[in-house]
Amino acid sequence: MKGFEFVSAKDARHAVALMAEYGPKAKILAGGTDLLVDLKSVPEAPPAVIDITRAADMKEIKVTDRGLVIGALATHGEIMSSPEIRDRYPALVDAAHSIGAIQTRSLGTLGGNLVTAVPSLDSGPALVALEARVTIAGAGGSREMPLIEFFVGPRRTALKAGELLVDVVIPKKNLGKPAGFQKFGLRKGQALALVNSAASFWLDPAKKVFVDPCIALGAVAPTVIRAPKAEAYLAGKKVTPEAMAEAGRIAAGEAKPISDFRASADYRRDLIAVLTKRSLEGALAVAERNQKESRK
Amino acid sequence: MKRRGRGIACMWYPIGFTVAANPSAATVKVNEDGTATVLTGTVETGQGALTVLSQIAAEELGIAMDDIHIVSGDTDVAPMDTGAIASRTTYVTGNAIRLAAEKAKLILFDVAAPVLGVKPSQLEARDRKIQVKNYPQRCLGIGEVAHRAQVVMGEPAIGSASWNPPTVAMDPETGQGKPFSTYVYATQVAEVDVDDETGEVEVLRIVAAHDCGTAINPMLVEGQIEGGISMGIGFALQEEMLFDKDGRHVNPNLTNYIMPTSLDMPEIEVDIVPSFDPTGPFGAKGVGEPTAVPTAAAILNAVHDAVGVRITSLPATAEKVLAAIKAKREGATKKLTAV
Repeated sequence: MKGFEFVSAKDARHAVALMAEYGPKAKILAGGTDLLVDLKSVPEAPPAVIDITRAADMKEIKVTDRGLVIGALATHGEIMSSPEIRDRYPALVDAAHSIGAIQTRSLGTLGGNLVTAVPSLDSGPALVALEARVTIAGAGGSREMPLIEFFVGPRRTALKAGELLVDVVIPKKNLGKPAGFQKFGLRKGQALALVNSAASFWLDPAKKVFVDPCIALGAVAPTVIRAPKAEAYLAGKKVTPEAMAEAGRIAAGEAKPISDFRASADYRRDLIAVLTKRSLEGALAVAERNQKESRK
Repeated sequence: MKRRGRGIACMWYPIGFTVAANPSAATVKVNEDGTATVLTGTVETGQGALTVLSQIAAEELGIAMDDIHIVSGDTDVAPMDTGAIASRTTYVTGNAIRLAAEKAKLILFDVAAPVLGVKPSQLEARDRKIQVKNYPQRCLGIGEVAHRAQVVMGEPAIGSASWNPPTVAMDPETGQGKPFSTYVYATQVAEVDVDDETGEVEVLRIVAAHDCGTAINPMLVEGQIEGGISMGIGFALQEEMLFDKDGRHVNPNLTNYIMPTSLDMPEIEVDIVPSFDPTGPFGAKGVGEPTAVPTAAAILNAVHDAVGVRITSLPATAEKVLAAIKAKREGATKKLTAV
């Protein structure tokens, strides 16, 4: 590892100021689970590593008038144990739990996972299925955008030079929306996703139909994608096992998985169909549990 | 849907190779403080060999394992050993160490016999003492005897020995012979869940019954069996070196060369089957490599029991298992239409 300057930011605003000072080649240190691996192999050291781990304003997980706000510095472990998330969003817990190993989950942050933006990232699909938005701070103020637009390509995001991802927000309209998450890797621990899938929908209590279904797929395209045809197929349809299976088959046709040494594209399509069906079933289980609890 | 299946596989395995001579040599010296030093050319590779070899020396000398200082691996100074290979260390090196310790012990008996007024053959080494058999109160401390051997008798208690497994060459006419000195046997039963929509095989439980002769250290035997099963699971379901069309290795790292993590390990029940091999040290044979032999076969038999497909190339990846399930379904459909 080459030598570099190390500076600590007090809060998000300070971090943005430091980024302006040290220029676009400076690196941000959040959990460090990707950065430290990269720093060991880069030929040239960055001019500075800006440590944001002490920026307390980026750590909180709370419900505000914007919705459920998850600070970019929240670790995967904190997401799994957060009382705001644990009981209401099992999809987010399952996604966080499927990342790396326990050490990665203790150190790695949601923001870091999203900014690294590998196509197989595990935190992306469940948040996209809940139509999460991201807040980005820059020297000129902050801006917001849907998370799905934040992903531009493999390892590429919409962040411009000098910009920092501050938080992720599940919008108010989706607070408590039932969602499910599924991942398939080649083993149980420390596995890259061959396919991951998330789905959310509101269950109409009287008519038992899908309302506002949303399906997101990971590892099957350069970025996380939605499956609009499958969503359109489900909207207003009666919730049945057959409908969920058919939505999975439609979603499989909407993705563009690759063939590589890990698996063939055909197998990945089979997985998309199965995992999408199962994430819909997962969302249904949450919806039914919520309705049972609200009747009590 | 997950489908449950069970499979059984049995194996036998020869202990120590015999293509060439396969000797181990060892030196054991008993010190004047009652401890003993063992010199061996074999090495510890994490399997616990030095623990077991120390136990063998301690048992022979009637002292505690903590009294043994074992020096290993430096081939410049240690007696020659064929190596920590071929599941031979406990059996072959163990025999050499036991014989070397016995020689040192016999010197102690020669020294102690006149003091205790008995013949050397009436003595035994137990509880850090050289004592008269059946009269343990007639005894001398082993350190005292070792000291006396050095400064009074002028014959320090040192033994060196080597052991080479006895074999019988193959008769060219009948094909008969005895290629290995001894064999071990095992049966493993695997219980799996196969996801018939993804092809994923989850190993839930493995019951492993192994014969290793006397289990000198049962906890290490258990550890060896559990370790071998993890290798067997990797062999059955995950591990594969992959090459592109130009012959380049495409997964030369542990991100992409998939092997089991602790989360992939099933519940394991180990049954050490009691047995005694008179040719081994205190009846012991070996347990290293044999532990990995039956696992993959048991798992694939369990997959067949669960979903009715035979996987004949390893690893049985989820993709391969799903392809076999689909082929079977299509075959069944074709048969139906033919009727």
